[in-house]
Amino acid sequence: MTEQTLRIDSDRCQGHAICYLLAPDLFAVDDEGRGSVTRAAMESDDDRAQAAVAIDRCPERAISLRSA
Amino acid sequence: MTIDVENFDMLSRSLAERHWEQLAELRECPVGKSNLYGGVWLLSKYDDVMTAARDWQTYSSASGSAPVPLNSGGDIKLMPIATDPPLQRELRRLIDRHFGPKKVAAAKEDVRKGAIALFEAFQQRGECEFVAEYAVPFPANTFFRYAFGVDPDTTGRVTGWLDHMLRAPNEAAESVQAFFGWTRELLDGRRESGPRDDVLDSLLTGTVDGRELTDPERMMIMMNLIIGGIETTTHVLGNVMHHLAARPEIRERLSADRGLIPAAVEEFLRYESPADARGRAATCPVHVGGAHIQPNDRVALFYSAANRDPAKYDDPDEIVLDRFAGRAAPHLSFGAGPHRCPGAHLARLEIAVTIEEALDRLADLSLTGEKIEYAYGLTRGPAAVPITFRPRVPADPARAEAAGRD
Repeated sequence: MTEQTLRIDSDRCQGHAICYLLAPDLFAVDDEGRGSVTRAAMESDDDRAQAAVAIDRCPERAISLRSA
Repeated sequence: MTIDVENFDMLSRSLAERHWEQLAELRECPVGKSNLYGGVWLLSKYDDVMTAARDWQTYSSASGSAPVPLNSGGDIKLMPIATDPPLQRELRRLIDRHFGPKKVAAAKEDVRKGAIALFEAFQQRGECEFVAEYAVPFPANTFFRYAFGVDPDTTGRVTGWLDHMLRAPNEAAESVQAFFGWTRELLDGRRESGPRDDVLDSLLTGTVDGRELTDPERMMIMMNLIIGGIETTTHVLGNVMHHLAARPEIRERLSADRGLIPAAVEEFLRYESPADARGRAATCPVHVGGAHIQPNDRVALFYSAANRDPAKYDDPDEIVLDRFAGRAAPHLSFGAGPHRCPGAHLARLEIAVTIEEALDRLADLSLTGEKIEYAYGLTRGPAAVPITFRPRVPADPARAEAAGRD
């Protein structure tokens, strides 16, 4: 299986902070609520499950999991 | 199909009363245009609304975000809601850092104290009208304390002026003057007292486009925050209490599994968006679902209809408490795109705390009266939610102690 990398497109992010609320192991937010990835490489099925929820629930479709 | 799209009146009593039925019919039609209010295109499918909310270059907010033209009887341009990027982005930078998830979470026990004080004022009576006694004052008290550091004693008259402006904008000159007088006092008071690290400080010292804000700009931002931050939350709290009181199985499930409350908050928000629709103006020709929208045409984005789109949600007209416990399409009640609600985390906290305290304090809840009447217009929510219950002392002593009880 190819290695997958979690990313946030900062041009799309509007600071909802949903990713941080749902998957605090994978994302951090700044004071304004804008997200960043703290763990880009998926280490477990739990990581992948959390990432999938965050990807679905981001209102800006700013999060993706792609082959590096 | 009974809906008459060309005469669709988004401010009518008829829509308020047959709300979800009419919005479902609207969503099933091709994108249409109402000829009322100078002509407004009606977007109601999830994907159309979401696309328009995000695409500020095509759908401008510069002429205001009300879905219909407002006659405000004066030169009122709310900021940042009636601006576009890049100015909008600079204004939001001043605001958003005070409403991020961490700063809001730090206020949780203070917010809870405000909730408990209101519950305690009616709790021993075993009945109350929840909208007037809780859903109106709680968001106002919470917002003013959190955002401006203002004592709740003053909040009643401020919300009174705003209500006057929103319901009768052409006769509200005195209220407008009173409101701006109050904001000026607040700004001057803060200049004297020094900073407390809240949004008022950022309005006083922050810069946009390399300059400080003017006092009129500061007042328009304060008005925008107050309008957005209070009445909408009142409506959600009224809706939530309606369902808690009418549906014992909802109370039982949430009591048994408090960890489900955050997901339930999202579902209550999806189920009934307090902001029915918001407006934009097209900047260029755009085709949506067969409609040919022209530059300067007004477009209404029906968040409430999008939130119940069966293309996105199974059983959209049901409250599914764990719908947002996992993968799901995001609801639109806080909007999307650059204008997404800055106060979403504070609103979520107010709703969650209210549910927790209601479960702890009100046993055997039930609704009195036969039918909920809805306040309608630019926002929608229950006008009154009369309830009866058996008062109950909170089960958790740590929480009671946190609230300053013996």
